[in-house]
Amino acid sequence: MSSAIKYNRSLIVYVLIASLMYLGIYMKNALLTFVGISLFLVFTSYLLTWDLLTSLSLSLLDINDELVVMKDHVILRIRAKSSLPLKIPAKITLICSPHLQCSNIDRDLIINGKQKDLDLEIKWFGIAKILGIVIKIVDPMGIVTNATFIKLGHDVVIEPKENAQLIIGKGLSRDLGNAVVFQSRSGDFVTLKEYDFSEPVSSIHWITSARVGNLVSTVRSEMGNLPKLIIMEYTPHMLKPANKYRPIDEALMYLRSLRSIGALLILIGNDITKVMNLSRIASLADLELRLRVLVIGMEGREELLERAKRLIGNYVNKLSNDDLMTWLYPVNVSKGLSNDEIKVLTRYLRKDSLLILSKESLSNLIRSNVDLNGAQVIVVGEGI
Amino acid sequence: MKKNSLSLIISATILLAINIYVFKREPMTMGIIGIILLLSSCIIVMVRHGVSRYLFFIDEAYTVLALSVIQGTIFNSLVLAILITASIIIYLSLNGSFDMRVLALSSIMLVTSIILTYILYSLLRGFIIMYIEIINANIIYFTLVLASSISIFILFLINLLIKELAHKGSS
Repeated sequence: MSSAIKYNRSLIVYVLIASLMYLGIYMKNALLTFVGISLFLVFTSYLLTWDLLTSLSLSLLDINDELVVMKDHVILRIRAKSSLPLKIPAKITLICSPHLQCSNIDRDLIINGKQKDLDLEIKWFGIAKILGIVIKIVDPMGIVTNATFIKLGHDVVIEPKENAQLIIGKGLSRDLGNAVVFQSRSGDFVTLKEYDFSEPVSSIHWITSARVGNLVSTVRSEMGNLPKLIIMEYTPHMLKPANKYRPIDEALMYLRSLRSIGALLILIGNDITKVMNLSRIASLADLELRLRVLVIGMEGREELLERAKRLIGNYVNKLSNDDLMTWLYPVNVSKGLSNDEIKVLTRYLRKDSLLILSKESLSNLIRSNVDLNGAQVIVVGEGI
Repeated sequence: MKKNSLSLIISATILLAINIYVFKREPMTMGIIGIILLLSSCIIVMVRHGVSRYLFFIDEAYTVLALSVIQGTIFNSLVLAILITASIIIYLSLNGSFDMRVLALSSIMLVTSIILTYILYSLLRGFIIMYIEIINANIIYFTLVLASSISIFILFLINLLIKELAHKGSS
């Protein structure tokens, strides 16, 4: 009942006013007619003025925005200025890709007021799109609503962070039969340091200790034997959200950790095989964007437009095809490695290669009797 | 003093004045009931402020009902109608339901609408006489209602035009 009143306020107000007026005419009563007419004129003049002022304010709106990318957050500084010198409280809805937490921000903004800092938490890695904002002005009674969409078009590059947990995390210690997991007890030599008594005695470098007259231990890479070739699944499965991160996020974190070793990276999936030098990749986040655009390209344009329309309504007409592709997230395509791609993968697989793939694709490999003997396997998408 | 209480005090005072006016007319009981209702509403609001909005509109509706029963001149009715509207507008604006600045600016549109209503009333009155006799309604009131509706419709169209021009100017 209360929601019916809330959403039909204008109807209720005008039905009451009209009833007063027509009751006045019917009863030939001057007072009822005059009360009805005066309320009608005052209310409608007020609402028309509100509508006109807010429409003009939104038409003359100028948005100054600045983006600050921090470690786990993105701060969007917004200031709404209108040539119409009126401070009008408005509600904003930030339209961005799901890499950022845009829904739980404080939505109040004052046009011609102070600058507003929107703190957006980073959820996933890749290139996030802050498409724009919908500014909505509602009169205090909730009868007249005016809104506009302002395109910001920010691309936020969120490079994967280095997560030490990943290297020794549970995702690595899998029982894969003959396959060697990535973690190994004796890693590559990194450096020498003063011996700490909590360390095993076997880590003491006796020759150096004798030379310097102090106990010195060796520091070895926790990553174990470093791979020379990394084969990464590059299919829609990698974009499927699981727990906090998507498989691609985990994969990018591994790539970030392995970047310095100068391995070759082979991306297999979506009917393509791409070979690149990991250390020469300028932006790992770009790998995510390319995959996303590739996958979203598999969805029909009409379908994408329909989805966009559900989210931002008719403002979708203001968007280009590129905006749609980079803002919307692929949800309808779920595909892992095909048999042909598994064959390609088998061709590249060597003893010193590292395989990064999703759980589904690993099952496919096992079903296809791919010999994983000696290969290092990382299964992503099981949560960190 | 809270704005909410101030809006209630001013609006209730106006309503009380109207009810005292009703009390001096026949039937007297309507005025007595109105005054008692208003005073008891004030006591209830002091104890429980949350119901002030509902009580105010009940009092307002009762006052309109009481006024519709008593017979008065057109001038008196006009003054009372303005008082009732003023009490509602004061209550809503001080309560935060109406934006004061917009309300002040809307006076331009209100004055325009009143002038338009008057002009249209003068124009339509003679024309409508021949048709209105068929349905046996009051010509003055009917013409006034029609004129006010047309004046608001004209203002609405002007509003749309300005918005469209502003939109084209900005894009």
